[in-house]
Amino acid sequence: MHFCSKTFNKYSSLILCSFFLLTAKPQLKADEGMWLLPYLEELIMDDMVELGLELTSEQIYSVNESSLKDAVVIFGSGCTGEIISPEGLLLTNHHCGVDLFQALSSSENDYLHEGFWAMNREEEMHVPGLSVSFLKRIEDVTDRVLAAPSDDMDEGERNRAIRQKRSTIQREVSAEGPYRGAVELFRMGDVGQYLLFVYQDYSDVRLVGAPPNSIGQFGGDEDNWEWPNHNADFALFRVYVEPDGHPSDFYDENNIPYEPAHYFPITLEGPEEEDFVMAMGYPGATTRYLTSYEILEEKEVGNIIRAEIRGKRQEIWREAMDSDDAIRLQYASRYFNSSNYWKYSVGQNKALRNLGVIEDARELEDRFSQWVARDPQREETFGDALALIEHAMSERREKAYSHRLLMEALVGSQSYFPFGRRLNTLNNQLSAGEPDEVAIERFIAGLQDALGNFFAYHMPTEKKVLKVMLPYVINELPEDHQPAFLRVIDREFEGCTDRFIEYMFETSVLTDRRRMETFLQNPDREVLRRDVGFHFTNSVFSKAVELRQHNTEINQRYLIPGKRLWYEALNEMITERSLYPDANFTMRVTYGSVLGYEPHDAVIYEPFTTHKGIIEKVTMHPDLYSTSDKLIELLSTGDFGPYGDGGILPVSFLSNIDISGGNSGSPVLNSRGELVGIAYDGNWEAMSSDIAYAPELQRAISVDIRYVLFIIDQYAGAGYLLEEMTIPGLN
Amino acid sequence: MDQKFPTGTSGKLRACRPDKQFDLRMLKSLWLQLIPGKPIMVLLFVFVLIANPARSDEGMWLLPRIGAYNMEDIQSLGGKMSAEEIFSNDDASLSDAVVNVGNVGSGSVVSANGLVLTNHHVIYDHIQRVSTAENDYLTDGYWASSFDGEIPAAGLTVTFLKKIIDVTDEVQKEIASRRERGERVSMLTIGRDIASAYTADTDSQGFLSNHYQGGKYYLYIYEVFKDVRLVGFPPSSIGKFGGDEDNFRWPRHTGDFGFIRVYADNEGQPADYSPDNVPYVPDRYLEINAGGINELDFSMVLGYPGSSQRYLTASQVEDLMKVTHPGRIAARKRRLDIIREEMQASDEVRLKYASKYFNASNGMQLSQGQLEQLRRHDVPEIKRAEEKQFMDWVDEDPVRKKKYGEVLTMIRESVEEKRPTAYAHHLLNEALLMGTEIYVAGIRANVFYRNLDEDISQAELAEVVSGFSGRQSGFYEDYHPPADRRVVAAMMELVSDELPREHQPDIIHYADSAFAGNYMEFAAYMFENSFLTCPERFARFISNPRLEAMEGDPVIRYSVSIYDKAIELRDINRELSEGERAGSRLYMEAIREKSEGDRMYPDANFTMRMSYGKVLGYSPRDAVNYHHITSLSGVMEKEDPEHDDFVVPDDLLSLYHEQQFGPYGDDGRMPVNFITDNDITGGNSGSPVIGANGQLKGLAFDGNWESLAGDVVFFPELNRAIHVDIRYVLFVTDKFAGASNIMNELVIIN
Repeated sequence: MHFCSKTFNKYSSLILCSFFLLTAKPQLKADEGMWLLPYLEELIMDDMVELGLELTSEQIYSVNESSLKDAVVIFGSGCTGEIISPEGLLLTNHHCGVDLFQALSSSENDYLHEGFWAMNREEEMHVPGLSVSFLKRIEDVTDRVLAAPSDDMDEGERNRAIRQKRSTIQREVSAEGPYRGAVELFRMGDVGQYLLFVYQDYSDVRLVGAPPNSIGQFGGDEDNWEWPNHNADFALFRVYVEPDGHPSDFYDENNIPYEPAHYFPITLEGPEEEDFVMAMGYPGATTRYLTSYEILEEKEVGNIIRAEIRGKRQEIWREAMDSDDAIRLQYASRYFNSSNYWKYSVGQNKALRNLGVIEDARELEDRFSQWVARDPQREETFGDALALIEHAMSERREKAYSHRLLMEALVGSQSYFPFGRRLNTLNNQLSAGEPDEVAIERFIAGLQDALGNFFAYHMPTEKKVLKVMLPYVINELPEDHQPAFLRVIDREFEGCTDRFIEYMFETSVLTDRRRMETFLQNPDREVLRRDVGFHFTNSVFSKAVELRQHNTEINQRYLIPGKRLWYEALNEMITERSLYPDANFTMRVTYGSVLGYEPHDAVIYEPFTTHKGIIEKVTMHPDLYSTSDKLIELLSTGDFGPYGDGGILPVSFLSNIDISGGNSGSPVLNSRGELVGIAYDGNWEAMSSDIAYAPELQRAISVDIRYVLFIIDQYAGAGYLLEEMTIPGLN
Repeated sequence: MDQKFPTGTSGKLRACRPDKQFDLRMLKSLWLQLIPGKPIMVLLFVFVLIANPARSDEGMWLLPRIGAYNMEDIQSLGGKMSAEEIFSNDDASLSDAVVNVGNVGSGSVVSANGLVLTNHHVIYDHIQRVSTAENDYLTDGYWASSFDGEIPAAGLTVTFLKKIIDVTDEVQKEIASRRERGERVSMLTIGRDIASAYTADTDSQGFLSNHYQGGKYYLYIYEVFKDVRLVGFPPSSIGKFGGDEDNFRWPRHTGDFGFIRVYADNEGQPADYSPDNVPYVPDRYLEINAGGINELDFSMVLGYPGSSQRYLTASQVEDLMKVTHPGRIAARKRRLDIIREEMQASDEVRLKYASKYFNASNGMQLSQGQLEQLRRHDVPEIKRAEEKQFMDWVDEDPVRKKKYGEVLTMIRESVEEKRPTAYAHHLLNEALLMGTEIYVAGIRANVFYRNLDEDISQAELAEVVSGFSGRQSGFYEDYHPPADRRVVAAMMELVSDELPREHQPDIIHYADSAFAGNYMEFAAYMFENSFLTCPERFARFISNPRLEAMEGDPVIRYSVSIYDKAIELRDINRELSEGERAGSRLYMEAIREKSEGDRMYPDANFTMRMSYGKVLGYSPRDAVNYHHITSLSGVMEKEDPEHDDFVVPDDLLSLYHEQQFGPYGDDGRMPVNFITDNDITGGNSGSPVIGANGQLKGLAFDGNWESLAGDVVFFPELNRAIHVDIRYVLFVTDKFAGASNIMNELVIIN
């Protein structure tokens, strides 16, 4: 069954594969696509119904009536959540809350590692800075926007006109009431080019419950992006509103639980293999229409650098974290974020190679070239597309590499870098002919507020990292890509980076909180002038900006026009399937079936994990997996109440829905729109999925809602929360 | 009589490595597991009974008992042979086509001209020995196009089993009469005598095998052929594809096979190598069935499993889990980490240490795998449940209660009392004796030193000097002192951390006081100040060896200190083991009594056994399933030209991409390896996998990771034997190698 999947390399078994596809029995549809809500009826309803959907498109998305979309939110700045009760109870992923749990924690209460459960409303904890957004409606505003620029405008003027029109439309929305408008651009597919999304933002969101890290992220780094996976990756929050029902901008003790227009009922009838499932959520970004030239840059610049640099710094962080609990707490969330994308980069390069993604892209480009050549009109319009793109990418390459290296190895690896930049702003303000005292005071206050964030790290560890990174950067970068200050280091410290680093950490205001506080009390330009850290960080930023600026110009001259033609051409040329626009953090629907896969010869991954896997992992690999003793005890009893089935507790499942980063926390629904799981990860074998969908291998990993309920009820003893949910068979 | 027991193997099927020292060590540690501390010879005569296995395909069955015990199961699984067709003393049977190869593995005769099919890794040493820089057979493979091109493999033997004779009465009578005469009962002597009696005037050899603690004796009569030649085998990139990483793993993609040929004199008798010798004509050879493998197909394996311990008590299993494996893993892991770093830093070091690394890693993986599986199944708990049943049976009868009531306690108390010193001895062995290369140099030097001490003639002195010098120069060939120095420091630290002071050799106490416990510094000092750690210094020394130059040598002091402590611990353990030894004997007697009338099989002991089972996939863990068979596409998936173990030869790549599988492919796929639930172990490497009609379907070469507790307990859901599909053998021999002469010899049925 999998003879078509992996060997699309040099010997072109594509032909062989097509033959097999034609003669093989009809498979479950390759369910690629992240679909915009207003176009479901046109594009995918038929397919969804064929696969088992029992809802209408109106029930999924309606402007005037309540629909499923009213139960799906943007959670924080990069996740999805869903409402599961008439009192605003919200479900999302545990890993979406890692930063928040850490921020709420103190030395007495480590909510990240110990978990948290409110036993009543009063105990629910407001999370400062967290907001969720509900989508009210979507409107096609293409005509209005495209009416703005006139024909005689050049590229720059045209863009300005469009930008202004988009802002105008957005401002109109805010004037209507507590709404926020966002006009987004869509290039691919049969959809409006400019769509307006109207949101309502709610900022009184409170933490209700979260399992300990050892349960929520049970598999840690080891299992990240991998199947089989046994994470209880969920957390509970509640949305509060003003007593009159309006969204609230901040915490107020008089606020009341939000009553949603729709919330998801939960079913204890778990999905079976090949059952229909769908997910709704906010995938952040995909790049499904890259040319081979662009993919190559992603592979050889972005992924390689991230894999190398992050790997190095994580090693050092890990050692420090293992040696000291306090350091562990300090770095937990930063490590997680770094590592997540690190593993992603490693996996993506592997998948790009294994799945022949670049070869596929070249084949598409060949097809395009032939299609263009057949028609002089097309030749005229699209003939330059690939040449423009190729030229852009080759011009960009070196500076893109250096830029990324500076950002990853220096800016991203040292906690104080962003602060250095802000000091630069302050320095500029202080240097003005007539300094604006009020603004300066406000700016300083802002810096003082932020002190906690930036100095929350362990300076000796930061130093250790820099001692590895700085020589690496100096070695890797060509002369003219090196930040100017490195020349000073070379001169003053005889090229000995260690000595410079020691000196910087001993003297700079950026590397010591007390020195910074002292400075901020009486900011003196002279101090900054003598501060090597200030110069170092800003020199790096300067060079990074310069490199990026160069590439931005290249993009504008060649890449953007080339891509515009490419998108247009694809829209015209590809008729054998519906196209969908790249994800851009707008709500999408994706659907498919519960399905396992065969990652390698002779290996079959079943689509369901069970509690047995958790016990196996801690028993066989205690060095890699550990979890709460209480959980192991509970799992060993074999008694799972209404959540288990025949002594088996389901934990997570696979489906071939098409999701990406941002879909974390997305509700996974059955054919009747009932909640069966929460999406939380993708799988290792398809880490190139942002670039190309891989039907045989790409799977979404979702935690089974029954495991979620089991943890809430039997592990945490917070079963009272189930009473407000709608769970047929239970209440 | 120069009898060579088929000494079996190291570890799971893959073992058989070039390093002789390694083989011995692995064997020693296997025996250590059996009954710690017991002298080697006696061990060979102590066997354990497994009574009435309830699990279906479990069992390494004795050939003479097949008719009585196994025919029902064989038939219900689809086997169509009769018991006599499998084994018969008088007529040609399948067992006549199964051989022991080199005393490390098994093989099968596949033509009327004495052509034998076995594993590539079984003949690996011999391939390495005949390989040169110009003719690198190990890397490139070799295929003789005629008899003349076949390469003599000096030292390689092939052994045929001629007869198995029940000599119970005779042996028991002999034992009784010796006892009456007040003579010492030496099983070794009795065995030799009986064997001579039965093999007089022949070239055969006999081996006395003891079962049921003296209840049953079989004499195995063998014919050992010494003129064995290499005929054809694939390049390492096929024969060893996957290397260390895929060792003990399923799914697997290894073409682990090779052909050798047995030569005899003109009368068909075993003879030393001579160009006049001719291919041996066997009594029986196997036909090949290339018709395909389906799940649930009947499969029978005949071969020479080396050892097992299926009848340990809970406390002895705990010893494995608390002493044997953790000690080995702790020492080897640290050592391997250091060696790996050194290998990565230098190509030269990499070449020197590749084989040593693989050997150590193999043993460590075995321990890791077994420990993991013992934990996974909580085997001590399983044993305790069995022991409760046993005690219930004992308590039922006052006579039994009197005789056996204390036996489990006796074993447990002895094992637990001994545990601290057993752990200390084991760790010392693993970490310092075996773990540091310089140790053995120090011991050698010490022996040499003692020889110098005595009144020694010039001639004797010259001999001793040249002996020492010869052995030591071999030592430096693959030696990298900086690596060993780091290992010494790490191993001393491990021992210092793990063991109480009284169990540490005094060299550690010395390092603690003179070097403030800084073992790196101590090791540096030791390496700088000894003539043994550097080939130039050694050469200078040996050109004019003097006592004074050796006195105070820190390496000699190091080695002697470790040796002394090891002996001390060994002696303590020996004494403390008495209860365990006596208890084990008594326990076995009890089990035998309890199982009267039930069928049983003894622990493996390097004698030919039969195992039956079926082709079957399995689920290694939650949410994962493994197919029963792999294909060539899996080789391509694993291909990595940068990684030595995953290089795929160009010709194979082409054959794959052009889908040129000849008649050996199956529905567009080329099968490579498959698994069955046969009960096999180390020594079965190369054993034929025989189908329902008595034809060859594949050959065994490894076991899966999840079976690594199989030494102790057989878990039918997880225990799998890994085989090369015979179709892959044919495909490689025919399409890849074009060895038509070999193909023409084989009898292939579809």
